[in-house]
Amino acid sequence: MNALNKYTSGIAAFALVWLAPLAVALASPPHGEAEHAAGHAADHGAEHAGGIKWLGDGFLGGPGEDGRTGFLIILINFVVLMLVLNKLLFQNLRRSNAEASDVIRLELERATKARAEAEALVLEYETKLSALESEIVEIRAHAVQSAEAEHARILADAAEQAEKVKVAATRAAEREAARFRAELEREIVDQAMQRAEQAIRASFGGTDQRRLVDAWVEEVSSATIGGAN
Amino acid sequence: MISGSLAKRYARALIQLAATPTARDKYLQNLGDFHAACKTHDPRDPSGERDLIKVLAAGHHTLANRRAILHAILGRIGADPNVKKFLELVLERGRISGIAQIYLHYRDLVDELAGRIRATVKTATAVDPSTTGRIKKALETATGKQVLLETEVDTELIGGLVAHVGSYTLDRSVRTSLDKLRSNLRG
Repeated sequence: MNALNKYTSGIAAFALVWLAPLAVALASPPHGEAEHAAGHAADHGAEHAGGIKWLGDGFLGGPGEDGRTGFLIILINFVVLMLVLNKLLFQNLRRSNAEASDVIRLELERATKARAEAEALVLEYETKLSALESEIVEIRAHAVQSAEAEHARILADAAEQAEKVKVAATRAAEREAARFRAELEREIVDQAMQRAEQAIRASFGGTDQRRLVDAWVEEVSSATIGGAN
Repeated sequence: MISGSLAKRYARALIQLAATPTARDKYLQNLGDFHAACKTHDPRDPSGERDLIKVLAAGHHTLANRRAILHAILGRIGADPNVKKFLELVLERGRISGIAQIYLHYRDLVDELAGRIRATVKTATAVDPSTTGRIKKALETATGKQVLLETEVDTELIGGLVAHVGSYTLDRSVRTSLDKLRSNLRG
């Protein structure tokens, strides 16, 4: 608004500075008329000797018989003209300028905001990028650590499995050895018993049978069977 | 075949029909003879379908025919009338296939009432009568009952003897000694 006032004041000053002489010129008679006026002035004294005529001799200070228009009227006309111009042109011009200014300002704000966002985004991406590098390093370290742990675990499992296989094989071998040993012992015993039976059959006689029967009779005679008294 | 408890009930029923020890022994003799007749087998009939016990137990023969066969057999062995009635009842009840179990239970009951016990002695070689007498006397001393001794020869024993008295087994055979030794050596 201040800028508009300044703009209006500038125009007014321009009019005063540059249009005043114009008005003076307009108020001065033409060359012929000037000469005539000079003569007339000479006739009528110092009143017609040039300068600003504030009020004309005509209606409401308009041009009179001398054809000169009063400066005040010119000034009023000018002010009216400025008011009309202001009403018809300057206000629209100011409005459109204000709208354009607002649009520009909004665009500028939007651009500023977009720039700030872009800068923030850049900053964020830069931060992420720097964090990504550290994250890559961390992931790599973690992967290495996991791989080492997995390696150790696999080795431990393999060692455990190997130990189990070893124990199982040892037990199986022991069982097999025990089975062979038992089978061998059983075979030895069977053969020994077979030999013993053959030897007994060959040597067993009536005396031996009587001796066994005597022992049986003696044992049974001294025993009690079925609750007998 | 019938269950043991059922055979025992029939045996008790028969022994209640015998009023005296003589009658019990006679019934036992009749039942033993009938049982022996039932066990006979015709060599010309390998399937055994014509064995007496099979015929008597067969449902496809009429009861009248089976009863007639039973009467003929019992008449031939001179069975006591009570035994005849008893076996006729067993036949009608469809229990004639269990006559072997009935006979064994009845024999045990009769022996028990008579103060007898049956024993079987197995030896590797035949024993002389004096040895048999010593064995019988030893068993009678141990059981306190009259012993009805049966002897068998089993060469697998190698030497010594094995006696079965009721549910008891008195074993002093070389075979058993060798088996025990074998078992001990095997651990």
